[in-house]
Amino acid sequence: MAGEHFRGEITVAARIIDLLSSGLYESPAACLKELINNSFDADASHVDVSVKPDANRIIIQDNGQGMDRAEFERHFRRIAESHKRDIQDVTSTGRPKIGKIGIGVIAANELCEKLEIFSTKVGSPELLHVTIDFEEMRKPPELRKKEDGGFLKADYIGEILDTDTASHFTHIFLTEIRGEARQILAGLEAAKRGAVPLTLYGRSVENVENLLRTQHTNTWGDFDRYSQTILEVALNVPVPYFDRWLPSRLRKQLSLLEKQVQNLNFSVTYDGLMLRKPTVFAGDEVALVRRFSFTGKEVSAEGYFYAQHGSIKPLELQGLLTRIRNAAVGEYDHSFWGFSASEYQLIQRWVSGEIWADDRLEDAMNIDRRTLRVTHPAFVELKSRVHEELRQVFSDVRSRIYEVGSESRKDAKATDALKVISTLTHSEESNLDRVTVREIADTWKSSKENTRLRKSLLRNYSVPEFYEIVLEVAKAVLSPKQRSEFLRRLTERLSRG
Amino acid sequence: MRAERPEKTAIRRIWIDKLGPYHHECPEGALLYVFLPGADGYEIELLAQNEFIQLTETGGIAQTSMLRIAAIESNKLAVAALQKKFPGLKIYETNFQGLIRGDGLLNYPDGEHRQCCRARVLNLDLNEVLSVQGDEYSFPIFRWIQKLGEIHSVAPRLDWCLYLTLHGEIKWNQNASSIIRQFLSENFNRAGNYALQSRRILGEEIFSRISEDDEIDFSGLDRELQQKILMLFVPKKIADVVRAQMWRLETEVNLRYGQPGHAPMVTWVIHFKHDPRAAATPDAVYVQSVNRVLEFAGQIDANGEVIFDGQ
Repeated sequence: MAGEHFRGEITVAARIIDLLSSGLYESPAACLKELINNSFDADASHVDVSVKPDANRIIIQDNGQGMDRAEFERHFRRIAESHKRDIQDVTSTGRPKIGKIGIGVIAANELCEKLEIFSTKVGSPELLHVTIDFEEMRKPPELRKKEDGGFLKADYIGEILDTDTASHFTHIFLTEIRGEARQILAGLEAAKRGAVPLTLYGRSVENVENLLRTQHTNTWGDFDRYSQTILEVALNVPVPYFDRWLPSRLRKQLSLLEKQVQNLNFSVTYDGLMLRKPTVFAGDEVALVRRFSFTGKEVSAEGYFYAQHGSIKPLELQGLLTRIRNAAVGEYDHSFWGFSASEYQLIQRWVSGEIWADDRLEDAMNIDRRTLRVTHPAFVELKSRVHEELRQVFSDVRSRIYEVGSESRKDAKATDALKVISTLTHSEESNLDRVTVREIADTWKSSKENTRLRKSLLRNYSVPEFYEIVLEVAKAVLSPKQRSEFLRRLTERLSRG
Repeated sequence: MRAERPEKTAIRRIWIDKLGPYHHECPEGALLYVFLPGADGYEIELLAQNEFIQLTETGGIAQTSMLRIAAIESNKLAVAALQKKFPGLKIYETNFQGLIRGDGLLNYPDGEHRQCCRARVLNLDLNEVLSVQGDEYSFPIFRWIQKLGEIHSVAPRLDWCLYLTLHGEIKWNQNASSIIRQFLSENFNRAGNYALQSRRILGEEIFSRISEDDEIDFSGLDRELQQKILMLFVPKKIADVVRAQMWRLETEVNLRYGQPGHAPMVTWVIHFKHDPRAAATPDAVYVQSVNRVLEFAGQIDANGEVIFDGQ
């Protein structure tokens, strides 16, 4: 009812308390993605995140289905006993819910002192307004403990306000942002090594795509922390790919996958920047993509592997990224889930992959959503299959990129050598007859097709080998006196270096 | 964005126009403009169009302009709408009363809020009546302005400008009305130009009643006369409350507007210029300020045209 006020306390089951301690979220980005994924679970099609100018206040606004007082209390009063998937584990629009145990709001505790929620559901004239004070939650456990074994986490104060019945949204305000998190989120840290770091703030989506594709950025560390946070968030949440994230000839092979992500109909703007997955590959003429699909006893998965000639940059994209229910599990794992470091050592950095696993792998996921339990049967089975696939990928890379790359480099060298010969002979044209010049050119011209001849053209000779050849030719065409003079001058020239 | 009434568009144009000199004087990194934009933030686009600030490719406030402007908005949902529309905009989530630390003269803002109050131009588009506090002849708004004057006079002293907009209705009690009538009457005697212009704007009857100590219920006057009384009273009272701070006031805009069916409004642009003469002859500086109060008095018509009184 409009005008009605209520208040209460949030309690959590004892098993969650350890998780509330610091370290659950390794960065502000990890906290933000939890809140954005909550909006996804609320069937929002769009989320706006506001952080700038100074990250003094963070606002997350979605157009999701919203919640009323009863839902708020059901979700938040016992956080570890989330009801997020009680009725259905998909949303009303059919999205698989990312959140499992309802700890998204605890992520906010890592970032700020206070959280405010404004939420309303379509058809309801009520606007829920709740303020949660995290200060209580941070008190020592003995002060939080209650007689029934639960823990007092934080007090909340709520009220019901009026709103129009057509609206449906949830707006979350995080205020009193904690020191280090604020520095990172606002990008206030001093530029490293005196260089001014790149920033994504204010850039259009096209501009960001170009920036990521040009390969001038070796690592996301070239960006300020504000931008790194954006990249980390964008990597995790179920936003679409950039329009040209892969060269078009390769994109066709992954169009189905791309469409699946697109069909989630979920977008996020971060200070005005429309987020896309920061997975952008510059590609080259030899780059390849290999689709992955696996149906096992314990788990099923699909995905792709991308490979190019040379290390993938930014290096954050090297390795393997796992997605469960469309959200990433941590970052790219550069070890490809512990693939032998000695096998295809060089080539490993040329490959990047994404794996979408089914729900059965979710059981293997640790609560931090960053890591997987390596002993879980689903993980063990999938890892084995992924490693098999990887061996094939690396083999392909060696034969189709590395060795082809090697051939093309030889071609290029031969072309260069021919150019040098042509320049030298033409510069001597006044002393040499035209027929000879043409004969020299014709002799080496076929080295492009004739691998034996190309080998000869590119062969490196030692000085003794060189003497041996020259002496043999000189003996055939010069008189003894001419030979002596020729060899004296040749030696003088060679000894000059 | 919903369309604005022509009068309001005209006022925004005036605000932007008067901002130019301060923009040129205001060093890089210093706060130029503090305003109460509401959820729509109409002025921000005008500020960008006139190159007082730069916007990013995505329509946010460019990094270089983030320190240039700041908004004040107490409604959380309006804050959210504004922040969504203009990423990077600095918004103080409070009302002006909160920012200036209340109506009293004992508490002053500090830290970031103090810096905000030292902006070169403050636009208090208050959308509220000039209310009296309790039964006293005491107006919170004038105490806020007195505080602003004090904050700007702290070294290094900054000349500044106030854009003030209030409802044109008068809702004063008898005690306040009586004191205000005396205050106006006294100044009719001391500032000749002010008296002359007041007579012209108010008309002979009301001017005489004020001059002759006739008790007047200002709230019973017709709508336009109430606006005119405010046009006389407000800038003059401001000159009075800051006279000890060595400011000479130049009232460059003093306009009433609001067609039937809309709220009557009054708006001012007042420059606060440091005048060292005030140390020795404060009264002379005050009278000079008062004499300029009605120099640019007039109204904005339904088409947004400014018509000066007496034209």
